[in-house]
Amino acid sequence: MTGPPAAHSPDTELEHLIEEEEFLEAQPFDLLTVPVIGPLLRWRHSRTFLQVPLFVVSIVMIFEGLLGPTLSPKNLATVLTWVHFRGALVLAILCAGNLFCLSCPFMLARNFMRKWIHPRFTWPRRLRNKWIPIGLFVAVLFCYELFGLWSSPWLTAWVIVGYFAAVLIVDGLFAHATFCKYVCPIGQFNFIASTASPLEVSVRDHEVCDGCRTKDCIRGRRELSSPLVILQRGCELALFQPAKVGNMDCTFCLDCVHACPHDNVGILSRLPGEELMSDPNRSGIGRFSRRNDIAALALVFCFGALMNAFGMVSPIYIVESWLKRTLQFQSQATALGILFAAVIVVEPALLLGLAAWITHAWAGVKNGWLAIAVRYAYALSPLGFAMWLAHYGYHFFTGLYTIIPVTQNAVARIGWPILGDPQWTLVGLPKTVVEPLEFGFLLLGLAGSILVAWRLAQEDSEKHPVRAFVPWGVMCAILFFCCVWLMTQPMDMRATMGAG
Amino acid sequence: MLAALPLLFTPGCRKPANDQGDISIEESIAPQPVRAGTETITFRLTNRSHQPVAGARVQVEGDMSHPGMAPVFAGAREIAPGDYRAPLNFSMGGDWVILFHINLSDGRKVERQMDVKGVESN
Ligand code: SF4
Ligand code: SF4
Ligand SMILES: [Cu+2]
Repeated sequence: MTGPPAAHSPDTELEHLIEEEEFLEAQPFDLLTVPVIGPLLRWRHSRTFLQVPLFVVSIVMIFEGLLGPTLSPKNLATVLTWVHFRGALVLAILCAGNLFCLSCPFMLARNFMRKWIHPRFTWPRRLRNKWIPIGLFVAVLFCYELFGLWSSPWLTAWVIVGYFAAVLIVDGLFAHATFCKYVCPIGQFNFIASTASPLEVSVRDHEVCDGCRTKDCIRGRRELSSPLVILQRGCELALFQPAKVGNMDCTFCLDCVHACPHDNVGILSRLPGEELMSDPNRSGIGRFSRRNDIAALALVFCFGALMNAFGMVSPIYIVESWLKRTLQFQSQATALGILFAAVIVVEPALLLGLAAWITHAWAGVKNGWLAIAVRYAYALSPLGFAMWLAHYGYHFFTGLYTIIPVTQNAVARIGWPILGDPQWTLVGLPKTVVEPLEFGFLLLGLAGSILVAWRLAQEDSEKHPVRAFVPWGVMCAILFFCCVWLMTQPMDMRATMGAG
Repeated sequence: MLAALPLLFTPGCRKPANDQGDISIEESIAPQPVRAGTETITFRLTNRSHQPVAGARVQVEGDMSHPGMAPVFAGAREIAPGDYRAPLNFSMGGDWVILFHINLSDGRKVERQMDVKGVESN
C-alpha cells in the first residue's frame, strides 16, 4: 500500500490527488482488517467458535419444543425459529453476508461426525444441480402453511431434529460439502439472497494468485508424511478463489481464508447485486445464463416470498374458500396445492414467458425465449430478497422483545427463576416504526432489480436497450406492487390444519 | 442425547403443572362470528359436584397462534355467583388461544385454555 504522495507543482499535485482518490475507490473495505472482528474471523477455530452457541441454542430449542409449553408464543423453539432466527438471518445477509452458514450449527455436528466417519461416495453427477433443494424449499414452504408450523413448538422441534438427521446422513455418505451445495434449502435461500450482500469472500490481489503454485484455497493442505491427514480444508463447495465470482454457493466458511498461504483472501466490500449484472464464467457454477436450475431457484425464491407472505394475510382465506366452493372439494392440502402451483409455477411462467417473448420480438434479442427468461430471472432476486426482508423483518422487529419473557418463563420452569417473572407485555417495536422500514426494503429491492435488468438489457441490445428493458421493468413494477399490496393487507395467521 | 429423542414422539403434556382437575369451565364468546375488536367472553366455573365456584379472581389472556405478537389481557368480573365476564380486545384476525388464569378464593391457582380459531379481520 502506498503512502500519501509528496507535493510538487499544482498540476502534479492535482494528478496525485486524483490518483489517490482512484486508489481509495479501488481499494474495497476488508472485514478481515477490522480490529477485533478481523483477528477473530482469521482465527482457525472462528467458525467453531460461532457455531457452538447456535448449536447449544438449537439443542435447547429441540427440548423446549418437545417438552415445553404447547402454546407457540410461549415456547422458545417457535419464538426463536419463526421470529428471531429468520429475521436475523435476512438482516445479516442485508448488512454483511451469509453469516448463518458461517455459524451453521448443523455443520458443527457434521464436522464432529466426520472425525470418525469418512464418507465413501461422491454425489452422483446427475444430481449436481439445484433441483433437489428447489423441491425441498417448496416443500418446506408448503408444509409451513399446511401444518401451521409457526403454531406448533412440537413440529418445529421435529423440523430441527430432521435437519440434523438429514445433514448427518447426506454428509456421512457423500464427500465434500454435498449437503450445503446440493441439498440444503436454507443454504440455497442464503446463496441467492446473498447475491445482494455488501460483502464477499474474495481474492485481494489477483497477481498474487497468478504466482501461486500450491492453490491451497481449493486443494487444502495435507500432512506431507501422510497425505490422508488434512491440516486445512480447501473450499469444499468447489469455488476456486481466483475464478470465484460473487456469493453464490459460498457458505462463508472461511476455509479458503485459512488455507491461503499468501494471506490473499479477504472479506471484501462490493456493490450489492453487482454480480447479477454480468454473466461471467463462475468457478464451481459456470455461467448463470446456462444454469436453468439456479434461475429456477431465483424464481422460486422470489415468488415463494410472495406466497409465504400471502399465507399470512386475510385474502388467502377468501381465495381458498372460493376454490373449494367452485371446484367442489374439501381438502386443505388441495387448495394450498392449487395456490402454490398458481403463484410459484404458473405466474412466473406466464410473466417471464411473455416478457422474454417481447424482448425477443421487439428488441430483436437473438436468443430463444427460454434463454432470455433464464438470463433475466436473476434480475428478480433483489426484489424477492426485499420481500423476504420486509416480511421476516416485520416479525423480527415487531416481536423483538418477546424472547425476554419466553426465556424468563423457560428458566423459571426448570425451577430456577433467576430472571424474575415473565414480562409477557414486552413485545417489540411499534408498527409505526416497522412499516416505513418494510417499504424502504421493498423500494431498495425494486431499485436493485431494475438496475440489474437495465444492465442486462444494455448488454443484450445495443440498438434497443430500452425495448429490451421495458418488459422486465414492467414486471418488476408489477411484482413490487404485489409486495406493497401484501404488506398492507390485514394480517390473519391461521393454522389451517389442526396443529398446535 | 440425540438418541433419546425418539422417545419424545408425542406432543408435550397439555395441562400445566398447577392444574386442578376438579374445576370445570364452560365458556362462550359473543358476538359471533368473532371479529377483530372487543368481544365479550362469558364463562362459568363449577366444581366436581357441578356447583358454581364463586369469588375467584380471573385474569383472561389472549395469545395469537403465531409467536411474536402482542398478547391482550382483561380482568374478569363476576356477574353472578360462578358466572364471570371479560371484555377482550382481539387486536387482529387469525387463530387465538384464550388462557384463563384463575385464582380461587381458597388460594389455589388453576389455568384453563380455550381456542378461538379464525377470528376475522376487519
Ligand atoms: S448450506 Fe445449509 S447446512 Fe450448509 S452451512 Fe448453510 S445452512 Fe448449514
Ligand atoms: S472456502 Fe469456499 S465456501 Fe468457504 S468461504 Fe471460501 S469460497 Fe466460500
Ligand atoms: Cu408471517
